[in-house]
Amino acid sequence: MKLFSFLTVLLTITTLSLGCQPSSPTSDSITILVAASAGDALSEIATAFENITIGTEAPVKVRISKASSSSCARQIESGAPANIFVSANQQWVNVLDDDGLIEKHQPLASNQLVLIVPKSQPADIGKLEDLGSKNCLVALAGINVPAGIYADQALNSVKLLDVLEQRNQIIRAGDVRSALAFVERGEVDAGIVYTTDAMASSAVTVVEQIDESHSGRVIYSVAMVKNNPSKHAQDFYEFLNSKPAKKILQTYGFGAL
Amino acid sequence: MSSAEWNSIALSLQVATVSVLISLPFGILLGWLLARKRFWGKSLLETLVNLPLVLPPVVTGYLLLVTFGRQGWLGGWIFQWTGIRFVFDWKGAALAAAVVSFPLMVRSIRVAFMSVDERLEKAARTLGAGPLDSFLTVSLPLAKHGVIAGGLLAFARSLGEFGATIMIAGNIAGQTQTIPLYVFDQLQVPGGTQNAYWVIGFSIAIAAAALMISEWLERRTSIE
Repeated sequence: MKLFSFLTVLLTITTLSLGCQPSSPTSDSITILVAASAGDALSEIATAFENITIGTEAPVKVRISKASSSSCARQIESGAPANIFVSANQQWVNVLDDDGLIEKHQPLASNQLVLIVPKSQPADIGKLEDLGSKNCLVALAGINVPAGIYADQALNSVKLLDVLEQRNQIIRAGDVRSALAFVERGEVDAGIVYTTDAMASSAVTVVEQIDESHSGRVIYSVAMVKNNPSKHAQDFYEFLNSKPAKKILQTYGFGAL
Repeated sequence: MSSAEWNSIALSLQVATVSVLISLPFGILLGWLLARKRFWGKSLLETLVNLPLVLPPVVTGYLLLVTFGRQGWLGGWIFQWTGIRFVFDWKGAALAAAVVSFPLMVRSIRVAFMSVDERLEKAARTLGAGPLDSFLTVSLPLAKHGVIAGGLLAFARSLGEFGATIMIAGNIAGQTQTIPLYVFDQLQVPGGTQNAYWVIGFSIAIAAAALMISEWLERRTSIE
């Protein structure tokens, strides 16, 4: 009997909450696929965009899906109903462009790599070159994800990539956020992540800002997906260029172009 | 196939084999306990054993990292005493595979022991066999099909383990990059899927074979 009344309550709540949702979610909503490293910032920009449209006749709901840039691109390739794609590098945007899946694209913001150590037990590491002289473990993002590619370039520029790889000192995490997690927990002695990731964590210390002459320029791109034309998506695409949007990107640590 | 592909296949087979060999004794013990004994806390133990079946593998991996990591309470201790390191090592991948596939193994073994006629065990005892003797000469041989089936199921599940593995062992080519991690890696490269076709085909074939054999063995158990 108790179970029955519990189920009744549950059912009522579900029905009520369903009733509260906007009547036509498809026509007034847009879907954005975002590179995981820009997810937090884009969520806030989306909220700001929604708030602007609330007063108008057609309030817009922005749906955000976060994954690695490559996963997002694969989803678009297989026809995911997305309107906008934010990528952590230009490569995937170009691939989609070559396949004729993209209407237009523009650079969004820049990011920077940093060398981090765990706050709890900082080994004596102050710059990239120190990694070579010590028997320490370094966490990087995957060998084929943008953050990992940039980190490889940075290590290569100080001639340490091959040395560290031979000595099994490089730990490849799945994505840049997992690399950050390994450093946070002190499982590795150092890591190379984006400055935006380091800012999001209170458990790591940034010991060096890696110059773009070492890593290459880290540019985020935003693309309009061709198959799903939408006035709201167009508005959002332009909103990303606006002052409020730029300001939010800045607070999350992204740089100007 | 390239050497990276062969490496991932060889490593997966190694990880899955070690994971099954290590967990099998525990699987037999627990399967038998759950099938035959009634004791305080049995349902709690059952829940704990089955937890990895329903827990998100990433959560399992995180808990393993917290426990068996260099900074983990157990991992630090084990490293100090034995020099064995789980984090960022194939042994960590084997550990993750063992934990995640354990519920499947125990399930199958438990069913096998339950289907053994208890009177046969009692008869062995009345004829003078000790508890261990009757277990080794009567219960275990009669349940062997289910035990092998459980081991095969766990082997197949171990081959496919991804979420927990990448958390504790990382994704290091040649060292911890098993089949699923290799495929995951190739999906991140434009045009990389072509490289993974053989590996994908191989993993489907071996998983299907393991499932078919274990199904067949389980059917034989129920017939007997």
